[in-house]
Amino acid sequence: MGAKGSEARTAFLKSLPVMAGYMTLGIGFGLVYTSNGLSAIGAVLFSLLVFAGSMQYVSVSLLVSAASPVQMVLMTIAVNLRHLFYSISMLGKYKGTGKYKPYLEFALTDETFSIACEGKPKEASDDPDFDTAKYYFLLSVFDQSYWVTGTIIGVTLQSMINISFAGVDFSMTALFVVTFTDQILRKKSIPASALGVIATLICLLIFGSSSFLIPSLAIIGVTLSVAVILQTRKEGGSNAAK
Amino acid sequence: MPRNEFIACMIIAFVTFLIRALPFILTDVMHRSTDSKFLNKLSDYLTPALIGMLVVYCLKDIRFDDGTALASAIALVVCVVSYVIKRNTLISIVIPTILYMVLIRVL
Repeated sequence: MGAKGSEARTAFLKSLPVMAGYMTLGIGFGLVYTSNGLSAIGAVLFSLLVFAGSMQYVSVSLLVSAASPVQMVLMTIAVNLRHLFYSISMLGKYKGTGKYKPYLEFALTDETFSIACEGKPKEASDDPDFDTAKYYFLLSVFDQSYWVTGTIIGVTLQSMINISFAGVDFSMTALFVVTFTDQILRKKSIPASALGVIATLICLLIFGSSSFLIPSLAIIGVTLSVAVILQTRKEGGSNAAK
Repeated sequence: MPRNEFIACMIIAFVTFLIRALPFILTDVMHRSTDSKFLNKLSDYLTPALIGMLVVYCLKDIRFDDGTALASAIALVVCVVSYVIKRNTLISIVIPTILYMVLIRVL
């Protein structure tokens, strides 16, 4: 029996693990954004319209350094490119979600992906009336609501408490260092991790801190494309030899 | 709200949405397959490489004439070591950040 609202209950329970993380990082974003002299309304707008954690932190440093629109576009592609692959993985599951689809595409963050990629939840496997599309939609809405709520708390804290939050920007560094460490620990292509660090360091030394990103991206993109092509050829060759 | 923030938000929101929607647009509207062996393999390598790039990006403005370099170094060690031991993302972000905020005031 599909009890009314069971999609909402399941989505809420599934979203609970995301709550603490999004509230904390959302508060961090609100603090970082406004403590750099940017507006509170801007912080909330970013969380409503961009809804991409790492990129929002990077946006602050882009705004502070008065980056050009071209730099903003390139940086957004670099930071958010992985979302392309989340979307590719969700093509099947989000098929036929109808009116919910545009929002589902917009709100496919790392965390939402990690829950939604499991598909129809086990709790609802014996419920024929369970609307999985609605479940995906509510899951995304819950996740974004934690993110926006965190941001609002962050900008409010900044304006109400009269102490300096200098150094809170370190949360962005910590976020990427944790992700980096995690990739190393999972042995997810250590040479590629090393290439990212070394190529960027070399470009930073050569081009300086205001224009090293584009050459770094170019080197990483070209090197990895060539590596993949060579590897695919090698596999193709060994298959043909069998 | 200042105009530069609004424009930046619109650009970044548009590009982010485009990236997330592109595979759906290609399959739904253009009936193209996005399941490419090349793309899948490239993503396996690209993600760790880009995260490595972002780590360097975050540390690009470190200065060595005050306490921030030492504070960053200590906070980074705590960040990595705590993650290796506890494997908890939130703990390894919040504790090093608070530590860093304290250290830059003390050092």
